[in-house]
Amino acid sequence: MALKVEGLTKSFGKKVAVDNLNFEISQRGVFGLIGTNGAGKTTTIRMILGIMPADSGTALWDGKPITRETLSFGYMPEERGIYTKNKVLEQLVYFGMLRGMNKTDAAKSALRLMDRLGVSEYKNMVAEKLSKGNQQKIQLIATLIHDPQLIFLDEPFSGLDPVNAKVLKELIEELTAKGKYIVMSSHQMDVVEDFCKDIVILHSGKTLLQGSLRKIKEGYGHTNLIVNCAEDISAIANEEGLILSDTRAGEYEYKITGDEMAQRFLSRLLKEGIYPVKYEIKEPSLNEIFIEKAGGVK
Amino acid sequence: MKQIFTVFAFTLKDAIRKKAFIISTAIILVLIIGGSAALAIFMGGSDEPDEGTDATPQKNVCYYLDEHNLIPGAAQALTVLYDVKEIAPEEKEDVIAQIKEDKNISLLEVGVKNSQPLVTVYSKDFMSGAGANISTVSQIINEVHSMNVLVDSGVDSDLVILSRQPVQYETVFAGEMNTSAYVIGIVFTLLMFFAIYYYGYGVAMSVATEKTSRVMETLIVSAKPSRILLGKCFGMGVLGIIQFAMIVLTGAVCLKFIIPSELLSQGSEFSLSVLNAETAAVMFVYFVLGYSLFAVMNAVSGALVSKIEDLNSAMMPVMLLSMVGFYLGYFVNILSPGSGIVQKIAMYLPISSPFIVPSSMLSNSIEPYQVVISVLILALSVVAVGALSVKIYSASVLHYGNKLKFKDAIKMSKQK
Repeated sequence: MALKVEGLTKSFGKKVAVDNLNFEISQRGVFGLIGTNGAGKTTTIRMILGIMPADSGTALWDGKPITRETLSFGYMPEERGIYTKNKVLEQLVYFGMLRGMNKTDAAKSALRLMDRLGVSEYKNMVAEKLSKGNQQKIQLIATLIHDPQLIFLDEPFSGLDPVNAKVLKELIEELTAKGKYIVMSSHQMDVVEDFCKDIVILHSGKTLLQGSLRKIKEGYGHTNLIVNCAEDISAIANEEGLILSDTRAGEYEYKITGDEMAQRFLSRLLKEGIYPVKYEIKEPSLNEIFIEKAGGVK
Repeated sequence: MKQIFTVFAFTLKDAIRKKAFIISTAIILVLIIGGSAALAIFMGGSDEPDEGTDATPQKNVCYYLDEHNLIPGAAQALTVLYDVKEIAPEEKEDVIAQIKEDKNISLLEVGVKNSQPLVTVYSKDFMSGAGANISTVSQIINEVHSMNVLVDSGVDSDLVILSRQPVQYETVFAGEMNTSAYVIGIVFTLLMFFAIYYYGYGVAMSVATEKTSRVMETLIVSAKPSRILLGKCFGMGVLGIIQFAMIVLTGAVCLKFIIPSELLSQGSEFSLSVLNAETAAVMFVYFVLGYSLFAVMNAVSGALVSKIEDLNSAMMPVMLLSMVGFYLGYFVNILSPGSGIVQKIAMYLPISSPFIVPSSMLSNSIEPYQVVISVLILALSVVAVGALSVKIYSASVLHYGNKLKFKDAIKMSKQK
């Protein structure tokens, strides 16, 4: 099974929201759709799901167009939308029934997910009385209630506190373990980095970069060096040509041109009698890759 | 079909539990029952005096001063209205002093002006409207005076009395004017307009709320927009029928057991028997089709806005259409029934036919073939407008930002 997007294009007036987007998801797990606000992520998802017509291009699942009738998919939109004046369980059952479930199964599934996400106590409460984070959990339950095969999560972590973010991360890991196909749209690179094997980076509707996150990073090589030590090493770093990019709690992060530079710097430190407690050579973060790519495009 | 039913059931259940529905229904029913009871009490109190009690109302006192006996017999004639007490000129000031204190006392003084009798009426003040009712008093005194003049001129008094007898009038309607049909027609037309306005607003509000709260985005990936729209319209329509039925049922019960029938029909027999199965079926069909026509248009109004505060202006064109239809129906059918060209157009025009044809059918002023043509035109209009509405609704429910203009919505709906 695979999701194949070919030549997807959408314009609103003269503004091109998505320009000839191509990608394929053939492996189970989380796929990252990355971009800044207005990059075209939500428009892309809407076109894939068929709720917004594309100007051109196709989105196929197993070679067939995606429709509500032919594929069991779930979609959690970026803008959370639940009935604020209705009781939580009641509306979840409604959403489940719209997905073809009978009332009993919908209620069972809703209660199971509510229990999993720790919101069972709110089942008979009207949604407007819930906190934003809990409303977001209800929205997630509405997305997953019918156990969809393909799941779209549009900015799932925005507005969540660390505790709820952890709960959501665990749930996504469970879904991945169950073999679900998940498309996660986000501009929070650290979150995407935690989950995604493959990514597409969008900027102003155009594809900046796409492919396996591992391979993308490997392509950049080791560009970052993190050193933790008590001594002041700035003079030595300057002499060796390292560029300081960040400092935090006794740690120095430098930009390096490769492994040789890092090895040379370590030899100098040892020669000077400085023994770092941490010496880590890293690939660039997704955030850095994104800023480098998006920053160069007007 | 299952999804339409799911949306229908949710919409209906949600709307029935809303305070607005419960309170408005309770107020309407209380008004119907309370109004009927008030009418019954009013009618019973004025027309049927209790036996064994003094039914004769207390007459006001009217002092009468005609020093020169200018209008003989007038005081006697006035006794049908007042407790008349003739006084001498020297008592006049005392009587005026009494009048200042009591609005139920009046004084009629007959004098002369330009060689003609002049009657001066004294009463407490302007607001008490003269203890004596001037128009009735003047009618009685004029009557007596003209008789006196004729008799004084030598005309036989019997002849004078005979000539003063009023001519009797009686109205016979040659047509088939049926008061019951007329009243039911008015009530149906008013209720129809109320339903279209109130429940149409409900549809638009429901769509706009789901759009502005972003629930629509969750719904639209689960069900086709057309199914959501139909489910909503059906839900609100059935809600309308339920409330409509409650109003009609309560009205019928009040009519049967509380309201005096002579009040409604002004003396002629009022009956619900004109509502046979055929007319009731036609009324139901027009209610459903008429409501559907405006409901799908209202759903589009709701889909055009991104903010609830824009809803009223978005609904304005549909409201105007419904008001034009209602007034056409009301004026053409109720105030000026006939078979002119305006009536014929209004009978077939989809926006006005629901307000006209059921009433016309009740009063037998429409041929069966005209009903069939009118229903067909209305049904086709519902299908055509419904199809267009589904397209516009589907294209515009995910549009956020400024309120969509209708022409832009049409343009969007033409995209594949």
